[in-house]
Amino acid sequence: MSSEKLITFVLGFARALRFNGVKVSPMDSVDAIRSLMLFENLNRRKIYSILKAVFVKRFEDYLIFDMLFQMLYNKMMEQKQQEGETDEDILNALKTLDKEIIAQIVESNDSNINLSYKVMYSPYESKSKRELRNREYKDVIYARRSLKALTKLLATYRGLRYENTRKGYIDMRRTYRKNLTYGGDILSLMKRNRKMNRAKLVLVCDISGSMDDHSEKLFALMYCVANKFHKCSTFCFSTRLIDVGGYIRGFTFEKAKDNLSHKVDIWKSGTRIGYALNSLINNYPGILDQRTILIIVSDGLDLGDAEILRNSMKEIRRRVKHIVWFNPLADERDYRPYAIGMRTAMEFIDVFVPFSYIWNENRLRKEIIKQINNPSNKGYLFQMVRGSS
Amino acid sequence: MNNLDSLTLEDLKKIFEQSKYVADENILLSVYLALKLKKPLLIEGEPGCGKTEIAKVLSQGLNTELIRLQCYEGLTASETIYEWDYMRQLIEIKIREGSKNPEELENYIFSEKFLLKRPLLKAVLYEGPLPPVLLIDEIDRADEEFEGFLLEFLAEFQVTIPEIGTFKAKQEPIVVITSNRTRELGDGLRRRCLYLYIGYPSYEKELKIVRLKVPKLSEKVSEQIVRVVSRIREMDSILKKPGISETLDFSRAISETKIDKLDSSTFQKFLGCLAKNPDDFSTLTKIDFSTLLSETMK
Repeated sequence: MSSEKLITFVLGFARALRFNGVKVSPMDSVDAIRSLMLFENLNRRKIYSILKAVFVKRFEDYLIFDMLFQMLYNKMMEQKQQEGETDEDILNALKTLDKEIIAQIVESNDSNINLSYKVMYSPYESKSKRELRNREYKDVIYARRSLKALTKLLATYRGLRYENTRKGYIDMRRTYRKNLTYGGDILSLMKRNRKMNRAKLVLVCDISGSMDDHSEKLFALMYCVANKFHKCSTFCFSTRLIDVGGYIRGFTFEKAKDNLSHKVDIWKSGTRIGYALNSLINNYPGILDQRTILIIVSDGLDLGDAEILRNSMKEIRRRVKHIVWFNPLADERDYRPYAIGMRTAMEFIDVFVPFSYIWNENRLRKEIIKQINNPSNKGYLFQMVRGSS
Repeated sequence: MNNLDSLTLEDLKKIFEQSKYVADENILLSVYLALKLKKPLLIEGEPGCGKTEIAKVLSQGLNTELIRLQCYEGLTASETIYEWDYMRQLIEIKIREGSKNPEELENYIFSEKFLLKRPLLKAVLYEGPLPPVLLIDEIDRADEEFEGFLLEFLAEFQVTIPEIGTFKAKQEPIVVITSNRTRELGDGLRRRCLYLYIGYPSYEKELKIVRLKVPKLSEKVSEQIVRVVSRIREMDSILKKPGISETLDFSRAISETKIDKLDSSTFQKFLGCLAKNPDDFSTLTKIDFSTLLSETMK
């Protein structure tokens, strides 16, 4: 293969990766070319390994890399055989690439992809899209207020910066300055402590058939979390889990609505909370840590295996700081969490609140304080569950 | 070896072989490129799959020093660069009380003699024929602020001590950063590194590792162990899946006790080598290993 052709391929490949959401900088392309030049006898396998080492920066990107490499390399070799065609065809082909096409390629070439994880298959799933029509941007504003309060109330992780406090470590500098007025005799001690960091939010929304009535509000909530919070991750699930952060973050309200309507195809499907949470643990392990507040919005009407739900909730409970569950059914006065999914999950939840509280900061704040400060009496719904189980 | 420039892929392969580290092409190429491009190597992967070992193998094979920085929550920049030895400084001040030249005393107590060098400064000041291997282990445990500081350090490889001056590394250290993916690392750090993911090994690779590291074990027993461990990894109910180190622990336990035939009771006896979690332990105790053994050997 001529070096010119190889360089064109590398540059085109970097563009294709970038186009499909893999963060590849121009310096990476330079590094890739430099790396290829280190070797004399290049073959497909070697080029693959070298480009993988240089271009891929996170485990989740391996899948896209493998698919694109397979596709573009084959295309380049085909073109090489057909005389008269130029490299521009490769580049033009790249422009037409779309995530949906890639998804189709995954399905058709699944056996050729050597990966240590596979996309979860669900027998219950039927692909369906939904036209979102929410025009109430004020929902986002209300949700933002409530969630700000929630992250502040539930934050327990102290960062590296200090703030002046009544209790804590002695702040020698401030103590000295304060007591200068007494001629240097130390009469009052000044103290400081590490400042509380805001918690990280992970939102997991149920968009299955039973939650269909709340889809518009769920969209507003997802939009709010993805765009108004610095440290956050947004997922939705029905029979499988999808990371929707990329479809919403940085887009306008209207564009995000379009993206969710057309690119998410699991609306109104069955509910498998356990599988969804399990794939959250396995595929996104980095986002669950002791600074995380996991917010689950679901009615708890689960069709999946209760044992998997229990194990997943148990593991998540161990990893994250707090689990908050918003349930739309709990808005009904005579709601009782009899559903097996809800009953299984209940023992691992810190705060259980009706979904409508998201739009009312004061009620949410009061409920959280009530449930967190008094662990023996975690709200009236907890008592109900204990009574029912 | 006196120079990294003359290092070839074959040399690197030999280094790994000599240290009994079974490295596939991906690992070899990533390490080779990191050395040639002089970029840090970020290794992510499942616990116990040999991430830290790569740094150890490199330092051993290149005959250079391994400087290890173990990250933990609350780790600050000062703890990783340098600290002044306050106690010794105070004693020195007491001894020299009444000195006629306070400036000289000040210069003396803020000299290198009273400097406690921490890993990053050590890596910068290292003087040897080849650069040291700086292992920044489990960076996901450190805070994001520390990660930000590290970006600056990795770009410049220099440290400024206000009382003494700026030190710049004569030769850039070979940096190996490991992470267990308990926290998402920033894009800035990822961009500056070459990335390598080490997952659970294939059956053939794991068998090769066991045969290499525990040579006393018979071939059949090694095969059985590797097959059973890979079946355990496939179980959804296992929370902490056993890594290569767990397989090796188990194999060594079998080898040390000179057991030449595996059965259910043997597995139950040494379950502590494979299960590292009370829930997993109770799940595995319920498993009928004799059936599992016969299934895997079909």
